[in-house]
Amino acid sequence: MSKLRYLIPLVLGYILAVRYGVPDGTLAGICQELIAGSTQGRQALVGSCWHAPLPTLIYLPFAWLCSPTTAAQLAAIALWWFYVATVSGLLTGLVGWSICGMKVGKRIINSPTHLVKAASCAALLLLCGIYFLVPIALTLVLLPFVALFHEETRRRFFAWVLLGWLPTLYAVGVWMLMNMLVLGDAIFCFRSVRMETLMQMRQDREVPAPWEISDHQVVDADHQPLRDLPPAEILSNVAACVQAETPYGRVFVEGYEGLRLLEGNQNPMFTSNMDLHIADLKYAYKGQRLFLLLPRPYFLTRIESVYWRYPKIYKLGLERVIFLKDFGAWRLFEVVQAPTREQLDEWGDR
Amino acid sequence: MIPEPDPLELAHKRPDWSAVKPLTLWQKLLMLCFVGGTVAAFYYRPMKAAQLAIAICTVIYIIVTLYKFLILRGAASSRASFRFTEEDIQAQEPREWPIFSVLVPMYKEPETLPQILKSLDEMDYPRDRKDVQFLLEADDEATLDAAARLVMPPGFRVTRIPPSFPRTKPKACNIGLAYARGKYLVIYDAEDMPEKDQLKKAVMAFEKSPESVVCIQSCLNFYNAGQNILSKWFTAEYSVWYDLQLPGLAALHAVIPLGGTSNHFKTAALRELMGWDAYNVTEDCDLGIRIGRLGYSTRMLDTTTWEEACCRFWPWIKQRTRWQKGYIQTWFVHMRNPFRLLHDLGLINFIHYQLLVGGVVFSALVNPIFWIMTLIWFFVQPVGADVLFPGPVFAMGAFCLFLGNFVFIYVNLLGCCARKRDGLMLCALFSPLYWAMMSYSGWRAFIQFFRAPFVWEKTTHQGKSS
Repeated sequence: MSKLRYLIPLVLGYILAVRYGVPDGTLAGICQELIAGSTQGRQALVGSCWHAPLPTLIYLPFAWLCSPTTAAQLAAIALWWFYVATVSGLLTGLVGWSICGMKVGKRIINSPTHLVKAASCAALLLLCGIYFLVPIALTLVLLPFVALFHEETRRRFFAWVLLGWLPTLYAVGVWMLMNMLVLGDAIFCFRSVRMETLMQMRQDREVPAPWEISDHQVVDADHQPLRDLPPAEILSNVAACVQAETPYGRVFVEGYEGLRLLEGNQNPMFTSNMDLHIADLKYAYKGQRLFLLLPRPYFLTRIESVYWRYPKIYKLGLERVIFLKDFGAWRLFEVVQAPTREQLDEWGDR
Repeated sequence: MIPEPDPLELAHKRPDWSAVKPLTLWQKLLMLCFVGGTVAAFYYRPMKAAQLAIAICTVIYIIVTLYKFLILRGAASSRASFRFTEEDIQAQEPREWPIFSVLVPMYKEPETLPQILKSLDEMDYPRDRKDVQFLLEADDEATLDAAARLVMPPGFRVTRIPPSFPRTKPKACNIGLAYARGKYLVIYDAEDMPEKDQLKKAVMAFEKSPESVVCIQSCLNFYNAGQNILSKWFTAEYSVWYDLQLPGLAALHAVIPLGGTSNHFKTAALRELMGWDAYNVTEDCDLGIRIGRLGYSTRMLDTTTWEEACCRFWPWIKQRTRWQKGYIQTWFVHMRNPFRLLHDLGLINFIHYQLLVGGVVFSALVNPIFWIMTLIWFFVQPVGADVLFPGPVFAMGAFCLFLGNFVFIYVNLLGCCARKRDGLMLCALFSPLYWAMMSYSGWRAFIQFFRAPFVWEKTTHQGKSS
């Protein structure tokens, strides 16, 4: 019987994976960068609480070893198993707490072991993304109260609360540490969680998404973009546009949406960028003409770091970043640079 | 007439299973090749070699972390340990209890003799069924004098161990084994305080378990846990090892590296196993593996023997050095013929063996290298350091950082909690400092393994009264 407990979810997971296991572009993009060993991959792994590290870490070995579709299917099975093995217990408890009230919750979380399991699940859920903030917060807040209900945990309240809170505290601590080391800002991954962004994301539901816009719909007054184009078409159009300007152009595709766009891209002109530092880019790519390709800020795209750092960049550009052209939901900007010493010398020679 | 016991029986009859020769010729050659290959790789292709080494170590770390998860899951199982209540024992009476032999090897510990004598005398087991031997070295006059001054209860006796090489505890135990009269046999250290009903519980556990179970391991813990931070860390470690890890292994039917004391044996099976390896400085761990190799098994018993934690830095380092040296010895002894070992243990237990015995040594030796690298990354952030961690390796490293380290710290807290020693939990949060001490002794053990493989650095105890 105990084997069936695991076998049935595994079979179900497999059926679900084969039916619905399509590769997630962003996850695949992050894994592609990680496998390539790029700084962007490291930044993407830890740089956003919306694209949290654990799903990427689970997906990575499959992405490394299998084709995208197989990787997605296997990762779906792994996630399903992970859900059955850990999270389902927590969710059952939470349903008990929130729907049926504390009395039933107490009966479900009826032993200290369940308390520890719930706490560990909360930490694992946190590493899966901020989408689970409500159940995590609920778990952490309710833990001490639940601890008071059980005789064993009540007598040793401090120990059980420490056991309950530690996994989440540790997960947050390590995540912040990684952010400090990789991105130079301990709370970089949480910076997009702002009331303003959340309100805008809510409003976005009233505006059609790029993929919902039909062929004959036109740009609106607020410069909302045309319908979204297939990634390959966007990239080839951008490449042609840049080639027309200069043979030495480099396009930085911004954020997690950029990783999705660049999945499978082979053109070296395009580089993903997670943490936009224009001055650094100018320094690192001295002598090249630099371009930025930004996704339309819509719903999840609003959490890209470029938008909480430069909220008006998509509409207005920046002091040295000027609008060039729209490509579906993507907008191309050029970074205006002063000529380098070498260029001035070269021009002087002429 | 009783034949003269051979305390080196294993080394004489099965030298391939004894640490009398620490390394075989091919092991030496293989080690030389490994060292030579590593040096050459780092000389000619330093970056590639470093990347490969880091990748291999990271994969091993991940496997060890997942293994820890697996063991913890096993520890929660109801079949992890035998549990008997007072009522269970009462229900056995009246009955005929078998003779139980108790071996107490001692060396220069006259001050602890009254304590262990009292503990054993007060054990809840029929006096005429106890067969207690104090194994004293013939030239240890102080302890012999102390023993002579004490009035020994019936069934208690002193067995003199003639001085000969090697002067180790297992050699003394082998002589004790030869003179043991009991159906079952247990070993206690001089400073041990077993729970009073432990012998009865052990008998009941043997009777309840299949014929193949020849050893029952009791839990060990410390009565002086609160003495200082070292004793607190040590207690947290023991709580994890005996209350979670070993029961978890028992639930998985894995080979169990035995603890130094409070392991109860079927005497006949122990004789068939030729006792302990007198040349191995962790003879207990080695015996646990040999039990597995002969197709027998070990189970855990939920009863505690209270010991004295070594709570001074240098004695602790020396004790740990001996243990880790013993693990290295044991690993090399049984890996003399890996295919034979695989055949004897089976694949699953072979993996258990590698992770348990090899894993302990590996992590002690490799941890400091990674800690230093992490500290350099934290504080200096050298340019180009990321080249050492190609993407997938970085991701695996992140996995270890997020889950691996946490699991090891959290398990310490769980161990304290399971032992109901909540006061130690805050100290357990700082166990990485304790791990640093373990790594220091690990390197010390590694060097000593080549320079003085049979040196037994004895742990000095102060006794409960002090």
